Amino acid sequence: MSEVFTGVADLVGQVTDLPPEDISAEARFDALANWTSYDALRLLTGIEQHFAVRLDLQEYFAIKDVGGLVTAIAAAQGKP
Amino acid sequence: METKELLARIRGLGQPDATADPALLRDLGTLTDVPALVEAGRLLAKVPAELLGKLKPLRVAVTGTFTAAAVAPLLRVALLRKGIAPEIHVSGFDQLATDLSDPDSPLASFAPQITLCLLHDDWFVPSAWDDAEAFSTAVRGRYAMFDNLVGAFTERSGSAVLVHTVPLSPVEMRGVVAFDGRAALGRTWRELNSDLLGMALRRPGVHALDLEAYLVDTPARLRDERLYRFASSAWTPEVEAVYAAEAANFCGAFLGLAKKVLVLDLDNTLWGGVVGDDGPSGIQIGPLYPGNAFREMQRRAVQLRKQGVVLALCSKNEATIVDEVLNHHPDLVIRPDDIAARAVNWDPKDHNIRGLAAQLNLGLDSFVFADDSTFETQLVRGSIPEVTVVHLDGDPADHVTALQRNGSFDVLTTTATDRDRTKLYKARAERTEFAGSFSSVRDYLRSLEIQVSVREADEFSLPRLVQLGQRTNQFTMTGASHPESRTREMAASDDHLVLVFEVADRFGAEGIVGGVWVSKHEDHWLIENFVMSCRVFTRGVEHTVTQHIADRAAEAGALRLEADFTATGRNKAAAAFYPDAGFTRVTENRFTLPLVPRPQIGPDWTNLVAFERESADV
Repeated sequence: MSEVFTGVADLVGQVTDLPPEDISAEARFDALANWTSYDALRLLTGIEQHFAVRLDLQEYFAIKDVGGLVTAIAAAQGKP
Repeated sequence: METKELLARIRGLGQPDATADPALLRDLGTLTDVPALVEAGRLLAKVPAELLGKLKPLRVAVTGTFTAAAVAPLLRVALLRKGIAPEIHVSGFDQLATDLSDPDSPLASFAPQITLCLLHDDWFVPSAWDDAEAFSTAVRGRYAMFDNLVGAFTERSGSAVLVHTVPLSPVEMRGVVAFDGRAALGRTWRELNSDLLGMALRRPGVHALDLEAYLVDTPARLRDERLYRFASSAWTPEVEAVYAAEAANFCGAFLGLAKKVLVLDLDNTLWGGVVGDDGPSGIQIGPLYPGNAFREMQRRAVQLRKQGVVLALCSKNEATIVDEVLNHHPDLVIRPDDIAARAVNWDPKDHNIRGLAAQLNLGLDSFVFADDSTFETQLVRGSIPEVTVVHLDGDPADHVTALQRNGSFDVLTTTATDRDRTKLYKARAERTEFAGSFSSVRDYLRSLEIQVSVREADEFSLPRLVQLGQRTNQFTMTGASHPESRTREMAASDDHLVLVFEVADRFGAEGIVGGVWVSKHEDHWLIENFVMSCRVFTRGVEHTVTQHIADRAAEAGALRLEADFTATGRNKAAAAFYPDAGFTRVTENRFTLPLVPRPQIGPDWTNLVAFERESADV
């Protein structure tokens, strides 16, 4: 499991109150309990602070699952 | 991960069968990560207030011209930390005008005690404008409307209203290309902010928070353009956190929770250095760094005194030396008349603070205690949780900011009697005597896991020991410390023993804090001198080291442990030690302690680690 994935799972758990261990790369955001656009924005803020990255908002909202978010963060980290 | 554990604790408190967790609010102070604070605030909304301690209820409404989703959870955390259990009503996006004008609005039905009005620049800025005059006219028009709305609302509802100054987005400012055009724009904007502040002086029930001024100190952008366009969020979470903290300070002031007493340590708090060791002329105070940082601290303390905060001293020192400094040091700002009560002695500080509260006849929950020492701040925090403790660690230039940050002394207005309060309390304090006992300090010391490491002085530790001997004036047994040459001779000799000792506890290690010079005689060992830094007084460290020496002497066949003592006028703290450890005085300058049966000197809360010299190539 990558460091990015662990960090993302922790933050998703923080926002949704789900145990981070239960969050898999395949987990779809729209299938998470009580997932709202407000949760998505809180997650974005947490992610951007924790990983010191800035994501494109349209790309962020197009991401379907946790694995996709991990890939997007890794890509953003790779940018100079 | 600390954050994870804290959030889990709060989630647990939201469960139906949860039991009280009064330590949670204090532990929340360790949380500084804004996204985590938002989650903590969201979860705390589901926790019954009675599980968190004795809190004051308050009904707060939040309305505004934009979406400030994180303000409510951040405000909840900030209020709880100040001992306030809020019920928070949050209005939907841009409901401000409806909320304030409609007597049947959901906000009006909530009947708030305090209504927070959150404003952003675009609510005042016209959507299209051609010149500075058109801009100014439009902004004034919006302000007049807001002022009327607030005036009518406060009269109708009786709710206090908090307005704030509004920062102008740089996008608006840079939209004007001419420098003189920007100047005109900036001036109009400052007039708006000046008018907003003026509302507080003009309208009863209206108060103002100068947000623009607080943001000067915040390393954050005003807004994230993406989230402004996407979700109408005009503030970044960091700005929301600044607003929430200051609004919470206002709520505390509104409820009259302002602290009344500031208890200050002296050494390394009001001046640099240790006056007992460095002497009145050796302390750092004056026009140059770091003395000027301590002087700034004194200036700010006196400024608080002039606004009604009662100042008290709590310091481990000789009262006569402190008197001399307070009365005669030319660079001091704070003077005896500024101070209502003093506890300058060698008693534990929690005991002294209780004594000050009794003397001043004020509740401990109205006390703020500021000290540079981790030991003292943790002692007071653990022993008297009601007291607000400010740990002044790090650079002395940052101490004032640390003291001001929590808004502990914030009030809505000050009056003429505030300025005379010190006189009043000073008289009250002079009538009362210290009394009481202290048993809790032992429990505290036990919890510290104090470890005393004793070793024979070697090439590395000897210079530090000699320096300690020269610099220590308070815990020393003689006026003239052993010079380096003699110390080296003794350390190399089989008939002598030169020990150094270090102290560590759960908060960290202090390094070498003292040493002992011992000569071995046929039937007795003699402690020629014993020095210790006053940083570690009253923790049983000196007793532990003496126990170690007694044990070694007894094992070597000595029948008595003797100790020399010469009063110097400044070593009163040391004078009490040998009698306290069980020694009896045989002559003016000599104490003795029989080693059969083996005496018990060391306390049960310290742990001794002894390193005896390995008998290598002798």
